[in-house]
Amino acid sequence: MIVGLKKLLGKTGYAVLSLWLVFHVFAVFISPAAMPPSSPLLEDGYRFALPYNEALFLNHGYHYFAPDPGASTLIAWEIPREGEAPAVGRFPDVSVCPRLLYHRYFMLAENLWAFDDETQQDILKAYARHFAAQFGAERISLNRVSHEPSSIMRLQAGGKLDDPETFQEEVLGHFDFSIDLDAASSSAGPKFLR
Amino acid sequence: MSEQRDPYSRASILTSVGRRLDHGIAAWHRFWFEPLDPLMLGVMRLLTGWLLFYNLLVWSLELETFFGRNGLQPLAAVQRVYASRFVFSFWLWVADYNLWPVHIVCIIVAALFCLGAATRVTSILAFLITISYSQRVPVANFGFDQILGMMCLYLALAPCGAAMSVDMLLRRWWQRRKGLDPSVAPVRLASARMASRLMQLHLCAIYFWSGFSKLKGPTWWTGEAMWNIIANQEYQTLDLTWMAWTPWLPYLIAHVTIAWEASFIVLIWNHRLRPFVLTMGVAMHFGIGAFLGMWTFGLIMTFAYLSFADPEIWRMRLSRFNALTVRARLLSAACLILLISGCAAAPDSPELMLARAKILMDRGQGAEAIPMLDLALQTMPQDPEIYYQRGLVYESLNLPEKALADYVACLQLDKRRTDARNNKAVQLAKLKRFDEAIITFSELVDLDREDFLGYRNRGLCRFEMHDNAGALQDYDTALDLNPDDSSAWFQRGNVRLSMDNLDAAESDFSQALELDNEFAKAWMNRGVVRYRKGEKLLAAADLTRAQDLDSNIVLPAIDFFSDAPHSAATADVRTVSVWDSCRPLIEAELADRGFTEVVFVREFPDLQCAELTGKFSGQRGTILVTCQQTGKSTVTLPCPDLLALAGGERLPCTLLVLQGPDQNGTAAKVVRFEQQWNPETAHGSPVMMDYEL
Repeated sequence: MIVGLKKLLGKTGYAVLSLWLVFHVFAVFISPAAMPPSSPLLEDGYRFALPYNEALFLNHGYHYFAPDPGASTLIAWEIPREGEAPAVGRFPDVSVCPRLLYHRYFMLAENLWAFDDETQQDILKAYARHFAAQFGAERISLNRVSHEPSSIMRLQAGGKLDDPETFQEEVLGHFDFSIDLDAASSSAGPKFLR
Repeated sequence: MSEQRDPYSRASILTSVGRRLDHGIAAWHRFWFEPLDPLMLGVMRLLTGWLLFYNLLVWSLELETFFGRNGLQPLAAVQRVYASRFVFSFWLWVADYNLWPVHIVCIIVAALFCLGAATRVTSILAFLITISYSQRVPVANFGFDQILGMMCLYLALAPCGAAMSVDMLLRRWWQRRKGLDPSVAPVRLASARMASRLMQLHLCAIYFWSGFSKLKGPTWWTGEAMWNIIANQEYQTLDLTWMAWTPWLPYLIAHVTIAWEASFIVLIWNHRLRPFVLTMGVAMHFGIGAFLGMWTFGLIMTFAYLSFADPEIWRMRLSRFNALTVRARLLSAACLILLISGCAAAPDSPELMLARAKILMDRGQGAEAIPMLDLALQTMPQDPEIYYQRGLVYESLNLPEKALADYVACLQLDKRRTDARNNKAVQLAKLKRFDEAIITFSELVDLDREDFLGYRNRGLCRFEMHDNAGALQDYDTALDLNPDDSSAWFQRGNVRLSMDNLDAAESDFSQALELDNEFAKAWMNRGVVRYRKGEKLLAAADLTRAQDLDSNIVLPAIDFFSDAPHSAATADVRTVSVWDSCRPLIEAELADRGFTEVVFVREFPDLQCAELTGKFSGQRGTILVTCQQTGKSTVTLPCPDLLALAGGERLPCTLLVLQGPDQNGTAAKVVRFEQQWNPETAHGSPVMMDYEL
């Protein structure tokens, strides 16, 4: 059989195929290995395989629920309204169906913080614009909400998973898109305040 | 008799190495290229294609929202993330008006791939579609996208259309039409083996790193990690919080998860253990699907397990697995009954009481926590933590004697508790028992030389005992240990102020304000220092800021017009009354200008200023009378906001400025009159302001 395959590929082709297999397995293993903390040796190996891994969408850490599963992140928004209570909401919203779409929104709140500041701000602005547009509003505030899981003892003692004290809010920014409209010709966006 | 060959001769070694090399190459070849029936690859294509199809249908629900140029993942931001990177996504080049046509084509390709039509082409397209969608919305990705990409990559390399496919049916139909026998034995292909091996090794990598990365986290060692996942309300779809009453179960699941994931890479290659390892994996991923709502992720992971299945014995193994499932179900039911029967913690257990008390304290209902802690102490009188928590509650209720007794009891049970020792000393200080507090703080810093709080608090007690040198020594140590503590800077400033070391005190207060710009008392005390240094304007600014921040702060009665600096504590408060000394002049001037019913309201002695009321054209108003110092172009006045209100509203204000009388006997005279005086305050509502004449 070796003879058959070698005949098909040629000796060089067989060797190249074998080398590619070695490199591919190396690339698959090295990508998660370089997640911090890691040695300079592993980081060099990661950089060597990076273009290949990026091209084939293999650049993953596979650190599922690691190192420590902690608080989950939600994003709350508030739209002021003339003479009425402000419109408020949060995502991920458990009423979103199907569940796969809910997880997409969940990841929008969870994964954003892994990106650089400039990207975070651009994407937060996009979130703000999206939810403001749903109400035809020009002003909106976004808050980051951390929801700590209740401990076993807390639950046994009568605590609930959604007790208010398990949520902590942090202001992300106030967005005013009326400025955006005025400055549309000069391509200046709304000022992001942190 | 044949001659024995020397095993250490050069020829023998070369022969041996050559033989081993041949064996190695043969083993390598068998591992990667031994032809394999592509049946399982066909099944995996069918299942993976179905998930890809479903994924695209779900994207259809909010296509523009996620993929639009200005959607939730703005194109410009994503392109910037990928700048100079080897990332492919055709969505990066699709304009908004083409979103739907391209998306529909992708759905059709996914359907064809799932069915196995034109599989050689559609499998490659399916891979490109998968990574394009995932990489266009990088923030919305999760494990499902990673594994879907992996599966589509290997299926694109594999002959996945050679089984369970429309392609195969068409081939058979064509063979029948040509009069050939279509029922030939399934073909075996080296590429099927290679793709299966790649999937297997990739799964090993995933579990290896998933398991080892968990070992970085303390909560996976303590077992709390699994509970934290179960108690994560954003993930949970089924309530598993009943496990709070069987805590050993989430702990056990956490330990088993790590052991299973980390050992997968080894155990999976043992043919006897393989069914057990894979069954565990299926149970775990179905659990993720059922309880955390991530069915797509759970399913795609288990679909990848089919790469370990031997197509020839698949049917036989499937029947065995079915039988095992029935037994497993019976076993699960028995376990479930065991788990839910009588495993709950006793309703009045001390641990439970303590946890309830903590919840009440979190909610500011400390008084209600006391009976629970009392109850807990009846059962566990030797638990220092309960005494400590009750001490905290008493402290929050401002009952220092009771708090002190609890901290003492806590320390009797556990002498090394530095938190209880610190709190005990704080209670002693609150009770003005500074000698004992100093001794307790000294014990604390003896136990922990790095406890900056111990030094800081002892410094405060020493200062109260007028031991300035000792206090300074403690603050120096505290600030060496924690230079970012604004309170320590402030307190050291107080000591230096009391020692009349004004420059050093000012420097300390400034440092405290550098660290905490809203530290009202630091503003206040720096103002006092600056006043004593003769820097009156700076002092006024600091004091004004202090009262802005804390309206409870009472400004010292100091005279900003005096040329000589005064001690704040002994400031020579001038009590010269403008009204008393100049009353005839004021009344005559106001009468001339049409004011009636002029009444004295109050005096601002520090400012040499009097507030009056009077009527002008039938309307009541405030009249502010002040004296201008000789040679000054400004007067300092109380802010209009501080003047008397009528019915909750500020009255119109008139300003009258006098000059003199002076020591030479020159009579007082009016130098300025403003009927509608309403100056703009510089910022906020300062208590006083300089007004340019």
